[in-house]
Amino acid sequence: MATPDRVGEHRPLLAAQEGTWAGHQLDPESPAYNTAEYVRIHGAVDPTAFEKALRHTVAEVEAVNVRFVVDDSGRPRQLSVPDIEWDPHIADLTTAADPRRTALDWMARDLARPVDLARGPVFGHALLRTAPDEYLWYHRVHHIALDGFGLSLVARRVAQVYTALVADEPLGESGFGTLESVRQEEAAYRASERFAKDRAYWTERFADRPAVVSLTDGQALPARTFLRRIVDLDPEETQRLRTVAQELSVTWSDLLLAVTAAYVHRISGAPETVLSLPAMGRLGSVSLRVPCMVRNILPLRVAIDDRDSLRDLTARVSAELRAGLPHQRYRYEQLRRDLKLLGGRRRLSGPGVNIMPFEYDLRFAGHHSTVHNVSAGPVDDLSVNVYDRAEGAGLRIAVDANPHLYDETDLAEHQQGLLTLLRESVAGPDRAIGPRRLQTTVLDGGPLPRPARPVLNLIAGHAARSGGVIAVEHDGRSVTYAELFGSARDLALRLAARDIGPGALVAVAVPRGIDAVRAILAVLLSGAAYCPLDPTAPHSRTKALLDSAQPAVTVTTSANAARFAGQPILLLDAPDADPGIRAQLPPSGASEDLAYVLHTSGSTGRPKGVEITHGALSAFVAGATQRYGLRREDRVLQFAPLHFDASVEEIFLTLCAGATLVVRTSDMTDSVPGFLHACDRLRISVLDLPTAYWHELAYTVSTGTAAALPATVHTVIIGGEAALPERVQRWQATFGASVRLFNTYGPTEATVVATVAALHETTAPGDVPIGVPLPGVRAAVMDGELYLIGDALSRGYRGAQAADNARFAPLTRLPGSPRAFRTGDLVRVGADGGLRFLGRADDEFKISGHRVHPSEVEAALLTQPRVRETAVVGQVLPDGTRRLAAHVVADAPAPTAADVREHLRALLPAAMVPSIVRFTDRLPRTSTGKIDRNALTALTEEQSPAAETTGGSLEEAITRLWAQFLGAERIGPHDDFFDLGAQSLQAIQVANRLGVELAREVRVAWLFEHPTAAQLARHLEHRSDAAPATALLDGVRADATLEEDIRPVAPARTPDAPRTVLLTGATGFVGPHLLTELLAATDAEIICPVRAASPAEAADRIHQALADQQIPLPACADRITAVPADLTRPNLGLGADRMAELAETCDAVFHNAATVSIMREYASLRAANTDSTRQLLRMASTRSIPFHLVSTLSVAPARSQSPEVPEAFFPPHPGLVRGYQQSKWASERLAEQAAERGLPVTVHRLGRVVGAPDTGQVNRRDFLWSVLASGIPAGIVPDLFEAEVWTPADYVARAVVRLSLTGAPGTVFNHAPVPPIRLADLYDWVQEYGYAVTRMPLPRWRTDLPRSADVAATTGAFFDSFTGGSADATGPDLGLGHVRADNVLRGLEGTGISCPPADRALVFRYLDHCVKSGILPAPGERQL
Amino acid sequence: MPEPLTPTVFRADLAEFLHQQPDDVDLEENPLSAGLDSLRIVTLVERWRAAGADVSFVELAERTSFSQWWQLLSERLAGAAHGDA
Repeated sequence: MATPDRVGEHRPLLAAQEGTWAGHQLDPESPAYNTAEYVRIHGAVDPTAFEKALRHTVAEVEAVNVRFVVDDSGRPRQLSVPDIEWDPHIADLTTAADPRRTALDWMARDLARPVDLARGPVFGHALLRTAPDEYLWYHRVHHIALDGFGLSLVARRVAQVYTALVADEPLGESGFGTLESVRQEEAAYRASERFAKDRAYWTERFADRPAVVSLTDGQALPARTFLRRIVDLDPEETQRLRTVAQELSVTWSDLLLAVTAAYVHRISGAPETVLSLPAMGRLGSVSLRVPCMVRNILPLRVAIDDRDSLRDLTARVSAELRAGLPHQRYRYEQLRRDLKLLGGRRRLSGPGVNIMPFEYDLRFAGHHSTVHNVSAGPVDDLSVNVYDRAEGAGLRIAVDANPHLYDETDLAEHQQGLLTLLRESVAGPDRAIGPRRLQTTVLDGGPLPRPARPVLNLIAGHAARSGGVIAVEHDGRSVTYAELFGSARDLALRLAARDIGPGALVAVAVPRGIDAVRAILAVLLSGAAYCPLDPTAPHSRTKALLDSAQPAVTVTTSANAARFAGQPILLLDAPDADPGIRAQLPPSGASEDLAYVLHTSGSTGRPKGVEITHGALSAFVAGATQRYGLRREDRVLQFAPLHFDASVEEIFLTLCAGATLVVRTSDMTDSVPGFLHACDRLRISVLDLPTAYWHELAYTVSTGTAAALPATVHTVIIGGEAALPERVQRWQATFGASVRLFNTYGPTEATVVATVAALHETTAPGDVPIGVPLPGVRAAVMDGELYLIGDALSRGYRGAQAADNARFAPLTRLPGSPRAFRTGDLVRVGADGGLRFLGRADDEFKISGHRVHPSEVEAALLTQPRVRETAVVGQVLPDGTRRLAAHVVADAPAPTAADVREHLRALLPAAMVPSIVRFTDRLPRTSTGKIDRNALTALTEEQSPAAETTGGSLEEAITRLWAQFLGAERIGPHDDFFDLGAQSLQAIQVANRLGVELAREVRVAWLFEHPTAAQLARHLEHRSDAAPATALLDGVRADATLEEDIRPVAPARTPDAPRTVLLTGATGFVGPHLLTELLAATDAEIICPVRAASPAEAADRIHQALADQQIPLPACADRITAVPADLTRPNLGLGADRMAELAETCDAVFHNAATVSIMREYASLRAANTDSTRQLLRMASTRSIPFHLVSTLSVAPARSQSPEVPEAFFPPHPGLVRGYQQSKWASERLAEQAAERGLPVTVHRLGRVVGAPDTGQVNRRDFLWSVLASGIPAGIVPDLFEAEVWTPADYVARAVVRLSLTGAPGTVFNHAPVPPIRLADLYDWVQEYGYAVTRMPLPRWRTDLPRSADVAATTGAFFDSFTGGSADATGPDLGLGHVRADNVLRGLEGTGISCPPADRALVFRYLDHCVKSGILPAPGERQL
Repeated sequence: MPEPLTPTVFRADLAEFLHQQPDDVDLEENPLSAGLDSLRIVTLVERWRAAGADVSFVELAERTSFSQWWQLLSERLAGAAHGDA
């Protein structure tokens, strides 16, 4: 027979609880496992009776009267605790402006507080009056104690007890079964055949470990909060849903499951969805009557294709459920272990669907009520919670999302998408669910101002009307429009004489210059199309292009003729033999005739000829001319080689506008200043530059020393690659709107330029749009990829395979299915409606579930001041590891790789931070001037072996430990712990052990994020700057050894009333209180060593210290003897004689002095803190006088290491990371050894000592107050810790003196006699005091905190040093476990010395003091 | 007025939720093994309460065979009939 757990008894956890416990350990400060609901009671409630009902019920629920402890092997145990101390929060909110809002806000705040499982309570209750006849009863409980059904059992019982109390009737039995009965049932199940069958079912069903998809590609560890959107279906709609479900012979839950699965399919396109179904796990079980945590999760596989209808899917879901439900007892965590799906990014199932069919029909003394869920626990990804509300009210659907993975907009979109699909499928259950609907955004450049005119007509017009205007200039020569056109005609006739005409292709291999322009025009006038060839290209390249293009003839010059041996050529500089026929030129090119063929390098490296028609060319010219506002007065530099399509822009825009084209000479680009001087000389007004060259130019002109942009230049057009935000900013800062800067984007296939952004008009820093389409062009964005539509599109690739031309296809998703070019470029539409270039779809790299665009990482890198240029490439190592490598060009002094990564960590998700950062003088570029990513990838590969080597010993330590815990012989550095069968509990154990071995903090979460030894070692090494070297701790240990000759004479003196007492540290914050207390409690003379030059100065300092804290000089102040001393020096700076004299006369030592600095290194503190203790112990030993050491609770291990802080000495532990802690720990250790040798020693560990309540004093040098002093004026306060002990200085001095005089030798006192003050409460009170402050995580606080104020700078520096520039987002772990204070409480019993609680009133007094003394501005005044 | 709850109706109700023919329903089967879930049981409870059998979800969910369900239902039906008389 199962009996209730006895008080104080340790019990193992239920399997479901273990799962929750392990999850909680990943982030113990997280409130995510808090679940809560509130019951709205429609009627008056008697708060007294209600509180009684709550207390009665809580006492009946075994599962909440617990604490959780860890046994020696690291396994969690549940400890039954009597008389949990808790109070319901009972408040009348009816006077608030919006009582219900106020209540919900209160709940949100309460829910956000993490629960300390080691201390409890794990639950909380509130009764909030929101209207004269409306009360909200709020119930929060950690998921480790109760699940949703458990909550409902408690709620029912509370209603029952309350009703009985009000009616003055017997309360009756709860009817609850015991936890032990559930444990026994679970044990029996695990030993049963049923268990084996269930395991076989699930492992077989999931043997193939199906891919798990969700609504996002990302994955993240559970967040501390979740986003929620609620929608209520109205009764009619709910009824329709139920009716359709009935028609389909399923329940409404099956229908919702089917729709959710279908929605995931719609978004992901995946052929199968695995949903996570929370299952009650109580059918046929004793737990039906036990409030506890047994909830399980069922993974539900649903195969889907686009042809499936709701009918098909519900049938499939229903069958899958019928097959799986009989096996629902088998634990989800167990199945993940069986399938080795733990750790890293492995998942067993995706989005959750939580069906809550339980409508509690609760009556509170006859009043109706409705139940509302506030939190259903942590949300890994996305969860659809469906509540069946009270009779006829319809379903409520609450969609919860992990904020690491979804933002509010995503969530709203998904919720809407899900509802739409639900409505569609309910309206037509036999209609196919249909394929994924992709989102398409279309940007329209608008119509051309007038129909595009053929380019030859425009140029002929200028030749005819303004024939004397200079058309082209080059190196001191120039031609007019009439001359150019005339000579081009002559050349065209020579081509025509060779039968060259429409349909033919003519290669033009002529160096940039007037002749090149003439040749191009001539080819077009002949009716043929031109194909520019680089006369300086390697022979092989020229040959490949000729093979591909098959030109009818090549126009070149004698100097280059040899390259085209064997090909028909036409020499510009030599006459042809007279063919004897009079050739005729055709009418100017029809719009469908080809104008030119330009080669791009395809992804295979094989050149592809892009065919551009006259229609496309004239459309581009018309659109671009309008956009750039080109005029005939302009002088445009011809910069680009002819085989780049930028030359098309330069030549045709200029000539069609009747302006002047100035061809650059080859020496112009020798240097940027030289180039600028030349532009000035040539009076260039429009520069069309490759972006890479412009980067150099922008850098030069913005530094303003070497050269300036010529005043004649009013427009700069750039294109070819993504512009660096940093250069754009420099440019904007230099020129503002005075020089127009057009950032262009366009593939050759869409005729030079498709979109343009006027960067001189945009201002947002770091944002470099590529703008909007040119007139006549439309841009469609589908799934992030850019498609271009319009007359300027290429006809296709010359002689290409169908595969290549598939990039030109009708876009069926747009009305009229227009022909479009699929660019392969990823873009997004910014808030201004302009496009942003994200990168090539091909470059997109998946790493750790993130889709990474290298350009995003590059953009983040470029925000670092000294980074000039960068390229990021993804790489797959031979072992399948994927990673990112960053190649960086930096200005001197170059940052280190660690700096760079640290900078990125603040901006990017961890997965996007490159694991390799390589510095280089320049980035490799392709022949077309673009960054050569293939070359970079190759570089990375060469370097990988070196980069792979991590600290061998660290790796070894990790593998050795894992091998030990997994019982494996050997584990390789790249073996995944979780593949090897590791479980969460083992991960926790290994993290602890590793932490101890390495003497540094190792968080469990890191093991999950870095599941191989190599990865973990790398992670730990990157953080190594934050860790103390083991050697340092060794040094501390050596200092903590008490010399053998320090031995008290035996026997120790029995402490009778001391006549002389030595008190160190009398001038500190606690010291003056100790001094007055010693004067009051004894008749002794108090000798106070004080750092001073003379006895008078020493006395002055003591008086000052008393005055500073408004402590009146005691009447018996003549018993104070101030002695000038220096504790850091031998003999405390007193000289050997004086020291010996003190040893003879003192009857007790109170060693209270210490240099308190949380920033200083151990080495700089050891003299003042550790050595002084040693000296005083030596002195005390000569006559075995009592020695009382004032220490600090900060020597205790953090909660993650030890759930309790005992009143005992600590062995060395990994939490000793700060110099101050180490020095105080060493002092304690010395005292401990002296105690072992017989010296009467007591140790007093203090928490945060705050000012005496009656004065409201604040220690402005105290860490917390300096944080507040810097944070409050800035309106932000950091999440430092959950709670900490506060003791006022006057109280603590009284307690220390009393316990020192009465305590047994060897006793350690933890001065934590009151519950700790919660940081959340403190901040609430700060708010209530009138300071508008926002709580935020520490790292953000550090970033947001203005560094101007001194105090802020110090505090900021502390945190910077604390985290050692590491990436960790959670900051220092300042939280302690439960602090035992039994010795203190017992020792003070009956003395009347009691600690006042830190409450709102006390905090207000401290704040008053801060305002009065100028530490803080008065509320309402904001410092700038 | 809902249909009175008889052994035949009970069997038919189960068959509907188990996707079986009424004759194929094995009354000795465990509801859990048969593939019922809490929502289906809640739905049956609502139906049978409407037919006059005052049973709760927990009472059905803790029983381990359909014949035990019927035993409970028939007791409650009898009780209701008695109370009416």
